Amino acid sequence: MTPPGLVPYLLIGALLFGIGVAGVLSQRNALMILMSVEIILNAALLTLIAFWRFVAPANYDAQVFAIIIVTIGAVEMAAGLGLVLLVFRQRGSSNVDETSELKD
Amino acid sequence: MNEFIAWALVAALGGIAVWAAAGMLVTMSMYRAGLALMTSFIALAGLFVLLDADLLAAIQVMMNVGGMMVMMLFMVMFMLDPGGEMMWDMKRKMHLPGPGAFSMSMPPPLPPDAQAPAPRPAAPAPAAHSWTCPMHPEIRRDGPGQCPLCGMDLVPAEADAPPVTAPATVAVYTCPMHPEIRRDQPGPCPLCGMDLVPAATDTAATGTVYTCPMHPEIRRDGPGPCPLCGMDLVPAEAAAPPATAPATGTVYTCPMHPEIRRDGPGQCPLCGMDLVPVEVEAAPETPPATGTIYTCPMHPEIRRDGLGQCPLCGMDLVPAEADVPPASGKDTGAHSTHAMAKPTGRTAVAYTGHAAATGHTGLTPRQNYVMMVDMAMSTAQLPWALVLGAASALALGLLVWITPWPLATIAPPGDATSAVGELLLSRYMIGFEGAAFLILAGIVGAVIFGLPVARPSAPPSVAPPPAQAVPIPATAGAGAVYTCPMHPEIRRDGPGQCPLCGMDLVPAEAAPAPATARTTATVYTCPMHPEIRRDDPGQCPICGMDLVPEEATPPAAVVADPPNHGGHL
Repeated sequence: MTPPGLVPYLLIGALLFGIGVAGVLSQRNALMILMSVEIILNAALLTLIAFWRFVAPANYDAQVFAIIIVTIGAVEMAAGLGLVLLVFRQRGSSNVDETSELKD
Repeated sequence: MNEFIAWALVAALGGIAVWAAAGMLVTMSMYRAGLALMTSFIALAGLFVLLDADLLAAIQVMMNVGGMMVMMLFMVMFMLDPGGEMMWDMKRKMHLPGPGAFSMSMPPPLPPDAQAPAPRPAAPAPAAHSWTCPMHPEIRRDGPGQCPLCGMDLVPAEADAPPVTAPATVAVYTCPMHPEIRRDQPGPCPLCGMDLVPAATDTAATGTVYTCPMHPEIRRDGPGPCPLCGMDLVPAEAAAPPATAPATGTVYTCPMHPEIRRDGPGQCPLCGMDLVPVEVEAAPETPPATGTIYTCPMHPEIRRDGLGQCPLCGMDLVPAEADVPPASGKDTGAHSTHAMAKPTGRTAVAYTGHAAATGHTGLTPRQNYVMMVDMAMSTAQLPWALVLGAASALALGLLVWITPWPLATIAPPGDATSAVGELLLSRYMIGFEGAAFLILAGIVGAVIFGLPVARPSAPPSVAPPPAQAVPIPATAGAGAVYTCPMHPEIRRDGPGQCPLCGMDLVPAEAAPAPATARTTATVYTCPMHPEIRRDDPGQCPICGMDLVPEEATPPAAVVADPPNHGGHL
């Protein structure tokens, strides 16, 4: 039996990406949308690392890039959380349908 | 590493990652959604370890999982129902199937007579009180009809079925949690899955009868929780049969919940208000023949003539289907009929046409869907989102599958963690620090914006409100004054929109009352929004600041427009 190669990781990444897309499109709460975006980011991360491992393992720049992606994800989560809290304080709800107008 | 172990690890970690991510979307609690996402992140970190990216796995756990913990902290602070207890309770009352953690599941409509147990020979048309509900043996009627509890069609009662009147001659098995479940043989409870236990003989028929304040048709020999709503049973008064509906006369109802109807005074079981007597017409429960009836997907007994929200759970009412109404009045008690269906589980008994048409819970598939979507915090576009998500996953999978990637056969040379660390420190540290700074900025911003609006320290007497738009007394008689139809205290020199509700301002009538009243009494205004003027202290409806008394706003102050509108956060 050969060890698991590139394909299983890519399939897992594709599944996670699809779940994230479905979540972004279906959820009505801003926090849930943020979390779905995190799933998409992680799917991209897994794909990137799988490609690094099985295509160009000698070049570690991919891992550094992946770490930057993780950091970006944390930034997105923190900034998004700040925005959601602000909207929640102003409107009493974090449902995105109720924030369709920027104006009060 | 052994190849088999490697495959098992990849399958397990990948499965956990995907399962938890999918569970995040279907759970009814945002808190549990955060936990599911953390689980997915950790499983992904395990995959990273398998891919020789140890440092990334550590960072994944530290940053993403840590970030999710912060997010869940805010969820607990701000969410109405962070743990999903309310939703879970509703689910429990509805007896919806599905595991507790990821609770969104569409109850499948059961086919008629699909899994009926041993064929029930048609009883030879017994005389009185010979029709009963397969799920609620205590319901007994003279003729066929529908169960007032679950809407199932009544079936002819068997000779040994009545649990109250005749002690069973054969072994009867019941559920410790759902005494109304009575079976001839052991097995799992169709409601909760617990093993049925031999029922005690019903020898206490002459003792105190306990009933539910909400569901008088529930009658038990001893205290316990109501199988329908979970309320504690109370001793029934004189053990009167509940089915004596006051067709006419005085019934007591709640001013807020007209569906609550009782024979005597008391308190509303929903809001605690005192019931008030009303003269009831002949058939209060008879649904109107014409017009659309709106009902709650969760509480079918809530029926309104128009759109609105359920007074029990707040969900939007939906048009009721023709077959949903609670048992058409003929056998309803003096209260609202609780039409929530008791599920029959996988081991359904005698599930007949009506129940099959209305699904597993007595609701139509449409109502089930609306309820499911609402409880899972999704929009009504969930099917399309799922289709698009599946399509994107399929496309991505096909793309990476069919592309002939030039795979390398070598393993990462050297110590990957050290190499990545050196790269980070030597080449990418600036970018990494920048990202870390953005994280800090985001968190600090979240905390600052999450805090209550800071009150300015300037005393009101020292800092009179800037008043470029306070021309109420001064200019009321000069030019046209525009005001909001909804907020008369909003007054502007020109047209515009109300800062409170956004409505267009309209010209105010001449000599409005508020302008004259404010000249003599103490007027409270907002230091930041001088157009807010109240007769009493309070808070500014715009910014929430405390209103301060305004000492006879001199007309000069109106003209003197301060250069800056400082102090506004």
